[in-house]
Amino acid sequence: MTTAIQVIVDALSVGSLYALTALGIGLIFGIMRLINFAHGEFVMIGAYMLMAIVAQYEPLAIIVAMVLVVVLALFSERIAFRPVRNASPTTMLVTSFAVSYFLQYLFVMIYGARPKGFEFLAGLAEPFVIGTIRIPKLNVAIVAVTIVLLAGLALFLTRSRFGVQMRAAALNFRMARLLGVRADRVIAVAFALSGILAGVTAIFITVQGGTLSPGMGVQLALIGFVATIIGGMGSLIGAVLGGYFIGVVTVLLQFGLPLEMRPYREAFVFAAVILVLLARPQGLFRGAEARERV
Amino acid sequence: MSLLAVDDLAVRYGPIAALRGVSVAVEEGEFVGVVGPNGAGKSTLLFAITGAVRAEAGSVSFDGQALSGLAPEDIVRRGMALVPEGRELFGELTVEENLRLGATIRRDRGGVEADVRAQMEAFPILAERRRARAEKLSGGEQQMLAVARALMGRPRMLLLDEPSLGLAPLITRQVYETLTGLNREGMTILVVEQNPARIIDVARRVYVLRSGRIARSGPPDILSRREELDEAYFGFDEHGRDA
Ligand SMILES: Nc1ncnc2c1ncn2[C@@H]1O[C@H](COP(=O)(O)OP(=O)(O)OP(=O)(O)O)[C@@H](O)[C@H]1O
Ligand SMILES: [Mg+2]
Repeated sequence: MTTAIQVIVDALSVGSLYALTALGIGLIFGIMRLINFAHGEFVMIGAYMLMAIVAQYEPLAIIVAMVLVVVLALFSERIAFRPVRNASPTTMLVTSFAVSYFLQYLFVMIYGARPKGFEFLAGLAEPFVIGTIRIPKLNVAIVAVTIVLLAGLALFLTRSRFGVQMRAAALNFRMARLLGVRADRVIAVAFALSGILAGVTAIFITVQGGTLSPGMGVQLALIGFVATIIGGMGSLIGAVLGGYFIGVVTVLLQFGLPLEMRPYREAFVFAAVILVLLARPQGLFRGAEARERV
Repeated sequence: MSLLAVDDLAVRYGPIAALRGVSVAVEEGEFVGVVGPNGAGKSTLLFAITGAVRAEAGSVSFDGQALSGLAPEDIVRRGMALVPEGRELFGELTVEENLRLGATIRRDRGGVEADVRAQMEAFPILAERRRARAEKLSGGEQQMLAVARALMGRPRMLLLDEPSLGLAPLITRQVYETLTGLNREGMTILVVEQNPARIIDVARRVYVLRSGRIARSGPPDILSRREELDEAYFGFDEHGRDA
């Protein structure tokens, strides 16, 4: 019982980070059919910014790092992605890799390739203790913040005029523009939202991992991308569920695999993903019922 | 001066010349039809006018102002609304969301609310199904929604691409009754159709488009003269390709 609860909480918090990442990638893919691998670097840079600014006052570091990541997301859209907006999918993909590598090696230049230890919001490492159950405060914080973010985003997309315009643009970009939806604005807002998601992910990854390296975002972006595929590309709910699916599989493997196999956990995760896609090429959550895009 | 003036417009998709020097003029308050066979370039013409595809040469002006280089979202703000081929509703959004998206360009909230109510009165099915997904409507209902959505932007001119596509004759007649009603109230209309029979009774003037060129234009009765029409439709060269 005790272990079961701990495994569930673990799975939910790992899944939350993957879901936020998948959502950041899925938002942009939905609107401009761009797979933004640089999303991982948005997270990485957010983490480094926390370290650079922390100066004993953590709330300030959080705010400044979040703002910087959003600015970075908007800036990369303006500089790199806008010029290839109408180019072929291959060109867009290559651009996305180029931005990703550029940002990684920029940070290798500035901070070196070696991982750096960095303790942030150390208080969150403490567990809540309820009887025999010990649940890290961090995990609770991750799940709670994710729920708030998802609810906020869902409200924005369904209730606000601009949110409905974004959904329309994701469904049929040309028609949305013909009705007057401004392409530049919709895409900029999608990047800003994905920047917010990356910033939040950066905070949690930093607290959780305690080390930073310029390559830290690579695997995260890959998992986020895979999660959007599992969810059925183009569906935001699918991306979120795909993120949680991978989180659950990861934690179950971590818990269930023999000790000497654990370092290869990710190989098993991706094997599971391949099996899923062989069985359901359209994604897990894109059946006749679950075709909602939001 | 014409409300809409298309002058010597050329559009290509890679090697395919879809429009090769098309000129069309529509006066304020007119109901004009463009007919032409499959692949003649009818949809391309409407997309080029509304900025959804780039013209290679030629010009489009609306109300005396050149539109070249403007994005679709800017052109719709000049007062032209397109009801595209196949309606292009946002199928997964509700009927009401689709309707309100038509008012994207407007800032007058009160006016928009009044127009939502007015459209729902004009097309009661939209009120009945306002919370349903647009894709759940029948073809005729979807066409009504597409027209209502376009009207929500309060356009001066309506462009429609094959509004009868896939509709039963009775429903087609209803759609055209709506259009003639709008025209009577002063709306300028440009309709594109494959089937000349749809246009012949309603349009004041028609153009016959074939292989990216205007083959003929004049009063609608040019469409009823059999030989002329055959020649215009099936005349010499191949569709859309360079001769
Ligand atoms: N996106 C595109 N890419 C390449 N060629 C295109 C594209 N759209 C249209 N074409 C070609 O341009 C020509 C004109 O097409 P268009 O759709 O304008 O014709 P249409 O008159 O609307 O035909 P229909 O009656 O079938 O709707 C055709 O030869 C078509 O194959
Ligand atoms: Mg067409």
